[in-house]
Amino acid sequence: MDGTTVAAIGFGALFVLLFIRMPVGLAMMAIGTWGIYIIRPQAAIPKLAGEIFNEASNYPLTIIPLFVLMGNLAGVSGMSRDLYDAAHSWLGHFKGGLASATVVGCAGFSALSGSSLAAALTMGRVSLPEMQRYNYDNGLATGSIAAGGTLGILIPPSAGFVIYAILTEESIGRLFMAGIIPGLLLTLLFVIAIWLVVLRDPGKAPGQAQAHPLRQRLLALRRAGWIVGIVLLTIGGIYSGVFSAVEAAGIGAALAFVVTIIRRRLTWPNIVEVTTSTLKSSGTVFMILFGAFVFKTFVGFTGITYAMTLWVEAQGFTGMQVVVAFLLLFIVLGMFLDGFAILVLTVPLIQPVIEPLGINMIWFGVLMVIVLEMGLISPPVGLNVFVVKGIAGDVPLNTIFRGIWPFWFAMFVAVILVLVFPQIALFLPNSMFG
Amino acid sequence: MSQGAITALEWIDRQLERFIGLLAILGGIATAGLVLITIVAVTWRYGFNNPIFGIEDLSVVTLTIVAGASVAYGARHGAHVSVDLLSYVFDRSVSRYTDALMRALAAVILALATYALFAKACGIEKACITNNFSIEHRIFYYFLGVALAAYTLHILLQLLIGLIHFNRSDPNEISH
Repeated sequence: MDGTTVAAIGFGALFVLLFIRMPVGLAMMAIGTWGIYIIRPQAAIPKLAGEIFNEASNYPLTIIPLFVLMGNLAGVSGMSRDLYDAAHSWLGHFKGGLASATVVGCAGFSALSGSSLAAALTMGRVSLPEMQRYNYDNGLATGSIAAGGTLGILIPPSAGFVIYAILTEESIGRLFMAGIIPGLLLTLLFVIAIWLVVLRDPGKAPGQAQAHPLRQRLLALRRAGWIVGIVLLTIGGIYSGVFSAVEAAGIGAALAFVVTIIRRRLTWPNIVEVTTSTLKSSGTVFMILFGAFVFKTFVGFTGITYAMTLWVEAQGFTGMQVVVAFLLLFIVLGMFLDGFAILVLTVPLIQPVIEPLGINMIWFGVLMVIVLEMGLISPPVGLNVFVVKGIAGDVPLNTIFRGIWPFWFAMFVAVILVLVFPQIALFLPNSMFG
Repeated sequence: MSQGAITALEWIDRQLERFIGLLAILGGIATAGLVLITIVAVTWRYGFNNPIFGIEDLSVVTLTIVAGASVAYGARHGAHVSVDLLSYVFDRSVSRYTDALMRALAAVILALATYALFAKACGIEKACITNNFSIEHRIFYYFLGVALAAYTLHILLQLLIGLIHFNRSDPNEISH
């Protein structure tokens, strides 16, 4: 059996295992080990052990538990609530302002947590009752939470960027910087989407909060000063080259811990909650990476990426055409597969094809993460939608999915803008120090 | 299945819960340790202008403990990502078979990975030590092996519980 045939059988078998609901990491590990055994039998078991150990002891991955810990501490210390309150006091009195405040709150929380699910869950718990109190349309309310949460994997720190960086051997710090402007752009596009929805049908946001006096708004902003300070220190530290991304994560976690102590929230139940949540989120990432790297080794052994590169060259496709084709493929895959699964399954195949075409892998990473965000809210398997469903038990799933579309199109616009103007993603990493 | 066998399964499940709880405590301490190591490294580097040689080694071995503990704890608490398209296509009459097959296959690959981590620890490394402090990797391979063994046992228990509930709803079925 030649390498291409083994790869084709491997991918087919992988999709079967995923279809029967095997955890993504385990499915990749199983097929990867099988594939390596078929091609180089003596390498299968040592590679299996070696790849698991290599990822478990991969220094840049220290960032995952540290940033997850920081986000969880922000939740229990009340910093995420402060952020929503500040956004609420500045935006709540506009038409659709509570939904906009939710999106802005999610964007702020995303700067402390790399997880989309955590952002949707944390902000959703705070903002949904408020939007329901003002009779917001359920679709708009839940849609803004689900979509706002997706900013978690675009605005640094981002678990998606860390995994992408590990797979492509790009700099985590540069990828983090590349996510900032597109993250802010997407936040703005979400707010515009809310404004357009309410403009078209004012009944979707009939009530609005009373405008707060300036003094109260400034006080709310001051209360959010802790979170803003931590974000500026960590992201600013990476940008200025003072800290590495790992050091920034450690410092951010330590500062969040100090704030938790100052606010007297370091209770035993909170310690247990933070620790277990951190372990669960970290475990999700590590298990996927264990499997992904065994699978990546298998893919490398088959030589399929070389065959794909030759084929693309023979067709005479330009880099942009190939990128657009892959992005369209991700949009379709996003409707059926988890975002992390798409990332770890496709990047080892795609990188050898697009890099020789002169594609900047940082720019492509940003585009890919935005498209994966679209998958997080796309029916039928959009994970964020199910997180929101968990908070809004009385809102039917169909209503949530209907409320998603304006935000989905906002993401689509963001993808086009970053495609056409790569500087949106590349300006900061190209200007950073260190 | 006899009542005695079910009682035995419940006992094993409780012991596994305790064991993974211990791993979680270790993982929590290691996570705090990672924060501490980073703070110490940054303080000495910038505060005292005296970087600590090889402190990355400590981060790396501590991370191994976090990784192992988090994978085992995540398995016990349903954190590992699965794709659920099956339930849109088939109902329980089919998924009870596919779940049993999936769990059996998952147990096989996990058992193989556990074996690999014990039998082939340092198998493909030239020097099985960290770069600076020469901390031997082997014990950390074994720790990962223990964590994956706990995951294997968890999956086997799910398989058996699924078979016991074969004609009813499965308490561990993956769904939205």
